Amino acid sequence: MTEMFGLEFMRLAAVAGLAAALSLGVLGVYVVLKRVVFVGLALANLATFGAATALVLRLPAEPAALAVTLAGAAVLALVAAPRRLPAEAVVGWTFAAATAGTVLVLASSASADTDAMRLLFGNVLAVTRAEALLLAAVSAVVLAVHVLFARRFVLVVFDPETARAVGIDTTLWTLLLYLTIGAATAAAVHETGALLAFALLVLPAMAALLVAGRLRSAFLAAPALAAAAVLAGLVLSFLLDLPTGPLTVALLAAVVPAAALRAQARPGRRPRLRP
Amino acid sequence: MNHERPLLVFHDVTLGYGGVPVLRHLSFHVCAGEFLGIVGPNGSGKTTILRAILGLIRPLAGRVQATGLPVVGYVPQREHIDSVVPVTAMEVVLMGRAPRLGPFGRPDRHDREAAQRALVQAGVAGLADHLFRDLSGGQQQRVLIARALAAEPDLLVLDEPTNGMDLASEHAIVELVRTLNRDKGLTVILVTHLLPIVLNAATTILLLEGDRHLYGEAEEVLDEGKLRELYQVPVRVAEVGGRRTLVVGGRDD
Repeated sequence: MTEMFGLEFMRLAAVAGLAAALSLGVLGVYVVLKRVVFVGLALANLATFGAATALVLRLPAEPAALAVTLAGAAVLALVAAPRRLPAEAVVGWTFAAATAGTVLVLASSASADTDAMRLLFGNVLAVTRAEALLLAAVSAVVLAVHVLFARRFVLVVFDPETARAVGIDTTLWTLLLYLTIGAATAAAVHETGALLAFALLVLPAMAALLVAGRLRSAFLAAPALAAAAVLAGLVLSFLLDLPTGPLTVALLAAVVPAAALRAQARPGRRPRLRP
Repeated sequence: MNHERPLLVFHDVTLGYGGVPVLRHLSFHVCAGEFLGIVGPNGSGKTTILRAILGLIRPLAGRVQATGLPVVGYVPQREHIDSVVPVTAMEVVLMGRAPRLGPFGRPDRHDREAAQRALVQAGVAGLADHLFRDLSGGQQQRVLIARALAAEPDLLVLDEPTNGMDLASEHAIVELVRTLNRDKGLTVILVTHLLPIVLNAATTILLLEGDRHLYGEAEEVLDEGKLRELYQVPVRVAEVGGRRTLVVGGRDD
């Protein structure tokens, strides 16, 4: 193990992976509770589209991915769906448009295959020091916002109508929630790929909400599970010579049914009022 | 009619969405200590009035006037709350303190004491550490009332608080609100689609039916002739065991 993490690329991969795991793990709890799982997928694909466009135009990928994703997050948070459609349909449209855009943009690139593989599946083992530090910085900011304002976010997710009624600007807090999801996703996508970023956002939160008895525990368990899966994925992929991202996703996917079984073994009880 | 200075006044108000009126020429007021029942079938505009009371929509015409910016404790319909979120009853009640908290929304000892008092008032002090989603409908409603009370409100506004409840829970919730009004002097606005819910509790009633409405003191509104004119069927209020009950049809059926 010491020998493994003696290698710089493994240390950088661990820093990048853990940074993504911690921020996406926390944000995932809101994403799952708000039933906007596909917002995560749509934003991950928008980040990929932004990075792909930047690569073709020979611009820095991370700022482009961040700008496109934040713009998309703002649109998804603020723009109401047409009256005849549910909001989820707009998320589906965003996903389809971003994915098609990415493929078309990459098709015009001379190094399309290599770029596409990196963007879609990522390679956390190829992360540079600057990229790892940027991801860590974005994750730190996102986590700080969510630690400081956790109660506001929870109120707006739990009961937006009452939050509005007592004078809380739910539009502002929803926008901030989506912007932080967009920032964390965009920062992670270029290093980990859209698949792992989406999995880190959704799967640890699902498992945590299944086993945690309280919201506070879920907010601790989700990033902890995500971080453990990232480290286990790195170690196992090193030992078994398997791709890190898909292996980490497979580990996380296996954790969810295990958590469901554990939750089923401990069903909640309806309390009675003492006379 | 109560001659105290009103907390809230609707002056010839027209309400609607996107410029399209839903309710026209609505005038009523709520004085401190009153219990106003707003009663009407689904689609009659009750929720629209509620949204105007809460300041979430502006009137298309007329004026909604609040005296001295009363603190409003709002109890939404239980169905509007996402009970998948694993929060405890105490955490829910503490949310009622949100308007009084700083930018980070962190409650202090004073806020926790206010939340505890509210749980006691609503009769659910023993449920503080239980998950909201594990509670029965009646228990959840009491917790939501406790959350509204934690705001230390001047005005308690409840939206269909007895929806989907069995008879016993319905009675218990109405009695709780009635006690808060009569014994603690809390001003109450209760919105419901069932007139019997407020029959024994409301001091003033606003009845909505189609494009007509009837407003006044309970005794005045519950007049047989007025009810018959509003509902277009014979409706009268009878007393059984010292309590009012509604009799629909009968004499000339």
